[in-house]
Amino acid sequence: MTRRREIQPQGVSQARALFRSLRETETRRSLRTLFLALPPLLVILGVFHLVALPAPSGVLNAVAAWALAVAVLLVRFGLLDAGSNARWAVPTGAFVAVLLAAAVCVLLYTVGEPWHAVYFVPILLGGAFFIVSVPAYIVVLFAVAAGFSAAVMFQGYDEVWLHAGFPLGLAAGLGGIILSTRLRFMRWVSELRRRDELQKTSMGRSFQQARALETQARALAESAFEGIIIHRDGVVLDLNEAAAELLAMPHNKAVGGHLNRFLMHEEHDRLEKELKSFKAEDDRETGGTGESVWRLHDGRTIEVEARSRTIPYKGGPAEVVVVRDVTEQRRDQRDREAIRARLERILESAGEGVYGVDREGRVVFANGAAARMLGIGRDRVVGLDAHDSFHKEKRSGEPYPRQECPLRKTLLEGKVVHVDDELYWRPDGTSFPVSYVASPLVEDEETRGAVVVFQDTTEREEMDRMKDELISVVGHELKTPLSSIHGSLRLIEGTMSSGLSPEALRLIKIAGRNSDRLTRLVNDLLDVERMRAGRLELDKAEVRARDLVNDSIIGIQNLADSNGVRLEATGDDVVLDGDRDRLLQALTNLLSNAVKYSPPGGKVRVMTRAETDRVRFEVHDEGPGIPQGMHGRLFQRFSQLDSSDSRAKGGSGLGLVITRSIVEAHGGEVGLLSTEGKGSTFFILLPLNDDGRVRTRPSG
Amino acid sequence: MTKRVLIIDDDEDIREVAKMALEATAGWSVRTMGDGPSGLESARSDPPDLILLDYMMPGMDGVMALRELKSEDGTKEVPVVMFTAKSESGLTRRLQEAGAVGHVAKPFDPMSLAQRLQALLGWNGGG
Repeated sequence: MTRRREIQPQGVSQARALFRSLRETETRRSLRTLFLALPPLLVILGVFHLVALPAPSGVLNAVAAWALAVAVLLVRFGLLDAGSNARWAVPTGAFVAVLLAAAVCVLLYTVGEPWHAVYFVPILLGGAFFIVSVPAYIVVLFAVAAGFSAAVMFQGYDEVWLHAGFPLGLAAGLGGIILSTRLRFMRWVSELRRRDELQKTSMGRSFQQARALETQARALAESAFEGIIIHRDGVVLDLNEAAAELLAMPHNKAVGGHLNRFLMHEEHDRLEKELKSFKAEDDRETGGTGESVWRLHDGRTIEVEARSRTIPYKGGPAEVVVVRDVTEQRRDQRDREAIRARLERILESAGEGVYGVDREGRVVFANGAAARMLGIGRDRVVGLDAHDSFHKEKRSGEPYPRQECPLRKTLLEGKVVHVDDELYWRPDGTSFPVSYVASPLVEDEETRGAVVVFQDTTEREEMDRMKDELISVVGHELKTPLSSIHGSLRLIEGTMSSGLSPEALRLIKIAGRNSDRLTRLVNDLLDVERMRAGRLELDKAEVRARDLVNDSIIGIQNLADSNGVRLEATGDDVVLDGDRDRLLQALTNLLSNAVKYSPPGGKVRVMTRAETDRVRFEVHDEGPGIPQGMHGRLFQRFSQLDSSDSRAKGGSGLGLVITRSIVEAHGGEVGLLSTEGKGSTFFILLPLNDDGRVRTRPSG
Repeated sequence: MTKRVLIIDDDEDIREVAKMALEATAGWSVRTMGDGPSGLESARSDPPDLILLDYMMPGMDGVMALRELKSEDGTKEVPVVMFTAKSESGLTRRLQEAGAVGHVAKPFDPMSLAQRLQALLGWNGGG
């Protein structure tokens, strides 16, 4: 809408614009000069008339000439034009016309010479150069014609007037032509100007837009993290802040110089080649990406990722290179890689098999040892279901249901489990015994899997078997000759004593006692050794407490009798789970000690009591008691209160140790209550069987 | 009747002591053999009232011999007591499962050996 108004402005504004436009032309300038000259001439002419002609006509002519001069001046200084309003145009025009008519009349009437008409030729011609509209010109013409006609009428017509009127008419005609031509010319010029203006405006707008876009693009480029460098044949045309920072060179220094400036001298050739390699072969494609290590001009070395592309730029193709400093990234990557590699090396060098499973029990990694032991190829082991692949059968040959697998506990409850006695199976059907520890893998407080570290315990089991055998064999080898010695001595003592001298008999007795002692020692040592190796096997069955006590009393009766000690048993009858022989051994040891340390005539009491979930055996003696500080040492190997005692009392010093091992193997406790001088009470606590059955009968 | 006992043990001294013990304390008639095969042979040809069998012997060991004895018609009725220096838990039960009546541990008391055997076998009074 605005544009339209500009193209077709209101009449006078256009006139003004046209007038103004014409003012600039050379023609206008020269005419201006001419019309500046005219008024003075007219003034002089007026003066001449005043002087040369008789009074009334001279004055009148002078006034007419001067009026003309004023009119010309008015026109010259553009009354119709600058600063003036449209409203003035018409009255001013009318005024000029009236002036002209009056001047013509007066001149021609008073002087009466037709040739005076020539005064109006310049008016008519000149007016054509100033008057801006055809109607106004016509008014001027009319005024001249009217004046001329009035003069003719007044003076009387004759042929001379015609001759005088002819140049006037010619001037009028010429003036008209000049005027219309001029007006046309001005219209044409205005059109041109308008178009020019338009073009300038739209060009200006496009230019503004282009500028705005450039500013935007620049802002984008500046805010990028990556360095952007634009170059043509290696000469840097522009670069963004990130690039300047990355390459440690300020903008003004970089632009205009060669790319090589960024790098250390020796790198220069390489850079050219590299940049070429970064480009795609076909420039129409996105461009190539490359990685490189650059030694910068300031000595630093950075690792970069770069991409290059051809773009049009300010009047020609240019290369844009986008560079990213990945030095830290790469370093972190390398560090992580190193750590990972080290961890892997550690895993690989471990002798144990290590594997990890996810929550569903599928293998996510396994070290070399694991794969080797399991007989599964390294590349095949990941993804296997651990339980199904190598854990699906028990030692006994029964299938191992998933729900019972201890690994499940780790995965579901996040608990660490130690398992000692299971089998892993190889794909070829063979198996090997394992002991393993499964630990949960916890991330963000959730169990995401587990890590299992396992050992092939074949060798260990072999060792254990060998140990067992050794103990057995040693035992056997020791006990066999002891048996013969003991047997022989006892036989002599028992069946041939009559044939021996008392001294011989005494010696036989001594030998017999000591062979007994040796036998006991051997037995105890073997027991202790077995217990120490953890190879003590318990043959659990239901055992009645009363039977246990009775049997132990029977066994110790001889010793009690020879020491003059009485034995007494009281308490409940309880059924418990245990290895009868071993429990008997444990109890007997206590009784034996009690008897040995009782004074003659003393009493040893055995008491059985059923408690909530266990049974308590107490062996009480009236001996010298044991000082508080000694209590702990008693249950250690070979400790007797006084080593001289051991010979006298005939113990091996291992009895209490064995008792403790047996009781603890049953999940129980041994203990001692004693004060010096007040006798001792040794107690054994044993858990009852698993379902806590307690059957008691009143003491008897 | 005097009980007739066969002792099978690879140790000569044990054989002698045991034999002397049983003869002296119970007056039983005792013969001895030094290894499994000859013991079996003896048992087959002249079945005794009791066999005292050593648990650990080279070659054919006690358990093997026991099984043999228990599988042959002529000998399976003869009660067998194992003679052993071993003291494993559950040995008694295992031996019983194999067919032995019980076991006597070495070293043994020669004076009460006969008594023990009688108790194990349920014999009352000596022969």
